[in-house]
Amino acid sequence: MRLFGLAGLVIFVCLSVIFGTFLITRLVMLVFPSSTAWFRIITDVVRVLLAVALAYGWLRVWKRITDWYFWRSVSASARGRDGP
Amino acid sequence: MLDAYSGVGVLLVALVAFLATYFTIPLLASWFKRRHVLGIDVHKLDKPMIPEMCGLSIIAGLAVASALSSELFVGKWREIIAFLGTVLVAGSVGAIDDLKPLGSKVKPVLTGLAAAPILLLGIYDPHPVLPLIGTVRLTIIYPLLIPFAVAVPANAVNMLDVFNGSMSATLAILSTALALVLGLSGDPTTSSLALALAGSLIAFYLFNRYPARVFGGDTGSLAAGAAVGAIAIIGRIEAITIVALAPYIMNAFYGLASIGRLYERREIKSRPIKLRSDGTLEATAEKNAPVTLARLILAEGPLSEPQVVHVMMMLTALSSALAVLTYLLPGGL
Repeated sequence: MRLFGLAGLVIFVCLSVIFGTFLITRLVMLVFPSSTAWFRIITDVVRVLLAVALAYGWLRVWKRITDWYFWRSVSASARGRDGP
Repeated sequence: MLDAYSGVGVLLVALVAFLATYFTIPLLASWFKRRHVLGIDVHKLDKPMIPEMCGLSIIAGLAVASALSSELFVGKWREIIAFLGTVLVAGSVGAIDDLKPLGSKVKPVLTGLAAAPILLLGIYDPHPVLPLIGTVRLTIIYPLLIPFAVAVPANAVNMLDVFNGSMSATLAILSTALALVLGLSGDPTTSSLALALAGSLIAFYLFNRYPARVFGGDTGSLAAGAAVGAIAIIGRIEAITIVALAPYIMNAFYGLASIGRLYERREIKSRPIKLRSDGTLEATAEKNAPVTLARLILAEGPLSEPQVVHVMMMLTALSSALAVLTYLLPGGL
């Protein structure tokens, strides 16, 4: 059973990588449709900044889910050992 | 998809890497044992001393395999030199760290320098391929990200090298999946390098699995992790590699997020796991200890060391399968 919970975390991480990059790229393309030299530089910078912002938000969610899973599992395990 | 000649060539390179690593390990182990380059196997009750730095055998395997690959796949010598250069620099950083421990901030910076051969030889395409999207243009930012693309996997792999066989077994699964993706995309050179890494790691696993007879040290883990980063850049499979590396990234991130900064294992006062009197491992309930992948696995109750490694292998197999599926998505490669 412990494998299912951990597999769920791995799948969440993988899917968030795939859809996170999709979201960033689509978002940036909408903001700067031009292809002139200056816009290319700005697009690259904005793309990275958006990527960092999205990654930060994603990591916060990821950390919360992990902490919740870990402490719930530790508590359940301790209750199991203390039980009759 | 590879043709028959390339397919046989890729398998031959992997076999040579396996044999070179397999026959180098006993020589290195006895040499390091004589010179007292030993590490304590902390997850055993009797705390045996095991020869360290035998990860040099992985580098030896990759060096021989690279030489053969350059003979078989003519015209790709720059890619192969960039790959081998990255592995050698990262391995050297690991060797220094094994002999004289580096600081928690110095080591990632130095492993980032391992990307120098890729940058100097210009073996990168600043148009990475993203799943569901296709090719994107990152002409200015991409070269700046290359040191991170080498340093992050190198250090993430290093952070998961905590149990007998954990690094070698999981990374062998991952690099086999990368070789498969590169083979399907018709890139025999990079596919051969990825499968050579798998071959070397399988040979190393035979000596490093529970109960370990050799340790790879940072020499092995940093070199192998940097090899993955180099394969991702040279083979243009950056996003696919990130998906495959999910368990490593999870482990590194959990540790960093719990501690709040870069850290070395020896700096941690509150241990994430402890060894029980029956030889099994248990997650500690200390609030200040980092929530590593091993601690997550052990959260639901104690397990033996081989069982923990088995779970890690299953999770890497899952992330590697997802990486192959990512390649098959529209715009995958």
